[in-house]
Amino acid sequence: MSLGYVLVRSILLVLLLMGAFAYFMVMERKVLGYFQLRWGPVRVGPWGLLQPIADAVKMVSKEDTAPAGADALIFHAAPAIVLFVALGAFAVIPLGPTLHFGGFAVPLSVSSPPSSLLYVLAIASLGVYGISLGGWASQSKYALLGSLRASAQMVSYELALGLAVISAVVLSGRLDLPGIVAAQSQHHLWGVVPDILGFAIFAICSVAECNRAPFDLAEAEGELVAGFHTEYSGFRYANFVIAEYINMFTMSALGALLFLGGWNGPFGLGASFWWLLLKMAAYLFFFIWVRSTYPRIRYDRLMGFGWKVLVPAAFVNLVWIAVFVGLLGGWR
Amino acid sequence: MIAFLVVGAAALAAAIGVITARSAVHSVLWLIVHLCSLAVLYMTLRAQFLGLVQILIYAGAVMVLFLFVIGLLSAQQGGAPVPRAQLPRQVGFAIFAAVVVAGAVILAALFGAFQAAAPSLPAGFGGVTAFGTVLFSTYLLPFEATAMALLTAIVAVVALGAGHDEPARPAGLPVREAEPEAHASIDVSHAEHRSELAARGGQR
Repeated sequence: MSLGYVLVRSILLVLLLMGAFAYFMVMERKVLGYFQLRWGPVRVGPWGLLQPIADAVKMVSKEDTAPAGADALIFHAAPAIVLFVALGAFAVIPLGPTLHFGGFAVPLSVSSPPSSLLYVLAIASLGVYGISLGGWASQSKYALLGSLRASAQMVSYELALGLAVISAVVLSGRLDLPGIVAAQSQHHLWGVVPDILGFAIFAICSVAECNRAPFDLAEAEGELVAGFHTEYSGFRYANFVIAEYINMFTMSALGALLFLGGWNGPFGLGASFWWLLLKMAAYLFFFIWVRSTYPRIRYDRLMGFGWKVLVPAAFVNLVWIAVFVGLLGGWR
Repeated sequence: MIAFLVVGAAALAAAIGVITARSAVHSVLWLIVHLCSLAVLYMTLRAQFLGLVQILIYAGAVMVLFLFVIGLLSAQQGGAPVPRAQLPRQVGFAIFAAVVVAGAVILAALFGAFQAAAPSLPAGFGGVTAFGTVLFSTYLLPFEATAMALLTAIVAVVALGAGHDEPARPAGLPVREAEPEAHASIDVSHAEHRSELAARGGQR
């Protein structure tokens, strides 16, 4: 695979993710609006559909400010780190089965290393730096508190998330995402059926990892103004938002690939890119649904829930999956 | 080879950055760059699993805790820049140590210490499967011993960190060492207050 080929695919992926971000944002505002018995954006374009263009113009044309006491280098680098990590983690996620155009195979991911799941986890674990550094470099108490909360929360929930992912790995015996999907289709059973607890833990932790409500303690606007990105404006602020949404895409794709059969339809209804898209959309709707339903939980409850409930539950689930695979013969 | 030179140079530059940076947070950042460069070096050596684990554990988890602690300790003033030259003649010692290590490496290379490497690697070398197979067969005993040692360390930390008379604190919150002193000072002031009251009562 030549360098130019990889470059073209990377650029295509970035454009795809940016477009998806823009319209997922509209979807979220619309759905939130309906949940709260109001309209959501309706002014720009038909049915508010040109809203992201207006938002983009606003974001780019805003003044780029920095606090006087800020550590200039880190302050400016942090949003770039966040976005870089979010985009990098998505690079190995296969968006569908490999396409064939007359003997020319086109895999639907930028790259597919043999242990792509491990790669996603490794790169995603770097995302906390952008957030914690951005808050620290702002030299403001709200931003610092937000970034400390974010780093403690993300490190804690990463543990339970990793254990839930390991249960999917044990179940399929594979560490590459296409292999995990293939294992599920081979056994005609989605991972979620034996591993329902693992999927539940994964879902909860994915909300916490993306710093989304009700786990958005890092940017709790009632107490911390806006948390770690309080001091950011314009396009640098937009970087944080875009990264948060792309992380949600990554998490929804992982959830669909690991537990929901990936790009294979239910009841053997063929394999297509559209099935994965449908599952991701359902997962993303779950993100919005949770956000509009539950109030933000208290910080000590958050940590207690993560360490005292989710981590032990994930260990128990792992033992169950090991018994299922080892003693009960797995899917056979 | 080109990748090795570029990434190796980045690793060296980052390592120098770690020790020359004036603020602790900058040092941590350089260390992260250094660890990521090492991960890429592992991957160029076909140790793919090791490279990913390097990022996941060192860059992704250990350094976050470093940053967390430093962020708590030096929140103000850009991390309190350390004045230059706290140790006398530290540059001289550093150069001496660097020359010794470089000399040892060059001598080892000259006398063929690395010639013993197998000319052809088995298929899948450095991948997860090969790594796991070796880890759970040849090196099972050291692996289990390490696990026991780590478990002991975790239990010890919990035993040391949890005070005797303190109420149970939420797990995951950093245990601040200053707190027992704060309690003590409150107790002292209470005692003083009481004795003061007693003295006043006595005066009456």
